[in-house]
Amino acid sequence: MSENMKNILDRILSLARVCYQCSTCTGGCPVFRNSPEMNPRLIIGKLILGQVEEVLASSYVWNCCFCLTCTQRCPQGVDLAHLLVDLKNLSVRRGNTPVGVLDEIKTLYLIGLTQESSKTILNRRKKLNLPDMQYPDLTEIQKIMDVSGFNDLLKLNPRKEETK
Amino acid sequence: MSEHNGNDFALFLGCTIPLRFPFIESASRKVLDALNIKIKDLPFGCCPDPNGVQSFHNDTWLVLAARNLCLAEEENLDILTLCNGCYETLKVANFELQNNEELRNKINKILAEMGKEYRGIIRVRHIIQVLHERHDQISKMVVRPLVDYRFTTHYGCHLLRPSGILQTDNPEHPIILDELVQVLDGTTVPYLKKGMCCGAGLYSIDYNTSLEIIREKMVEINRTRADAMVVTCPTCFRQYESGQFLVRKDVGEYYGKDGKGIPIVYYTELLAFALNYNMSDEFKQHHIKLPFQ
Repeated sequence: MSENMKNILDRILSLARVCYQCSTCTGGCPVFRNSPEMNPRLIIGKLILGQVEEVLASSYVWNCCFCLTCTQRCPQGVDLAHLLVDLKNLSVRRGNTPVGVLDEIKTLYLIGLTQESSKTILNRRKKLNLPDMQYPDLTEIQKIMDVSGFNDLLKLNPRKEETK
Repeated sequence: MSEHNGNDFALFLGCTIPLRFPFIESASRKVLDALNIKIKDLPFGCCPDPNGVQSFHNDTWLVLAARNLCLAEEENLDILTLCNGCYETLKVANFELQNNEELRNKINKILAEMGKEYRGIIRVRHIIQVLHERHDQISKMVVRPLVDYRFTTHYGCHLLRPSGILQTDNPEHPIILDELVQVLDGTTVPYLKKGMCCGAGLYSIDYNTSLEIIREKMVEINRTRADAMVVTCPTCFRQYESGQFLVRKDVGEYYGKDGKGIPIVYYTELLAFALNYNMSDEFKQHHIKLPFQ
């Protein structure tokens, strides 16, 4: 059921078009102040000029921390945070998913949660008299991930060794 | 819509609280019990994470969220979340599915294969909202007032934004958490960049930037000389607690009155303490010692 690429691109462009480059997004972006290559205003500027390829080839779309400050403050109502979600979704189709994200979703596929359990933590739960952990029906979760096209995307993103 | 009385909920723990910070779960169960709020535990999956999973594949994110909503719908219970991420995901997904018939039909086709149907009959709430509604009730129950302590508060992004859908509080000048601290007779102190993100979303993607962001926050919080910082989200909790040590290691900056860090506390822990619960087992599991025990 994966949405086709053209639909996503059309949506991105229609969302971006009303931007008049006032830079309110960049001014409030906590990432930009510390990592200036992530500049929301410039990203959206490039999209308006049709330079989608250039944006997708860069790794900085993944540097959005999804705090939604830009979406909240945009005077034109551009939902920049979700526009970046669309861009990240497209980046995934090119096999550019960061290792940290891949690890998280693989854990989700294996146990239905994104945190693994351990003896230590289960002991702590017992000491605090908490009820037993309830785990989700894994067959349902895996089925959803299989049917929705998630696993085809995982195959496109082999885990590269981390380079720091 | 549903015929909920606002006092019965399906408790949505998420992944991080039960498997990383069970003391937050313990404190939350205590205060829910004290306030006579009834909860039911259901076998929910990951919400899923609005950052990682949604960024990877939006459609899967939506179906997995819808599956969780279905579990609560089957019990005819509103969902009560303890984590901002779960709150954002479930409330936004609920909103999108309630208001977009085409999308709802598409998602229901997948859910039908496991005998489920999303109907859009329940609400998603954060524990902070539910507690704030019981502000007056809480004020009459305080046994150990926190009159000697000064707190900073951090609401977290996904409790407030996107405000059009979440409708939790004013997204730029929120007050509900401050009022909940004040009702325990604690003092809340303002600080610069209060509404700024904690940077946790980047921790596994761009470690250095994530630390720079937490450092920017900690510098301002440190200036207030507050006794502790109150949060409403386990991801923010982790970022603030471990981030202080990582900044110390990387940059050599020490925070807190004694240089041992500024204690971070989840709101229900504070409330349980004020309601006279013995919290020593919970507080023992904090890495930065709390000023009250």
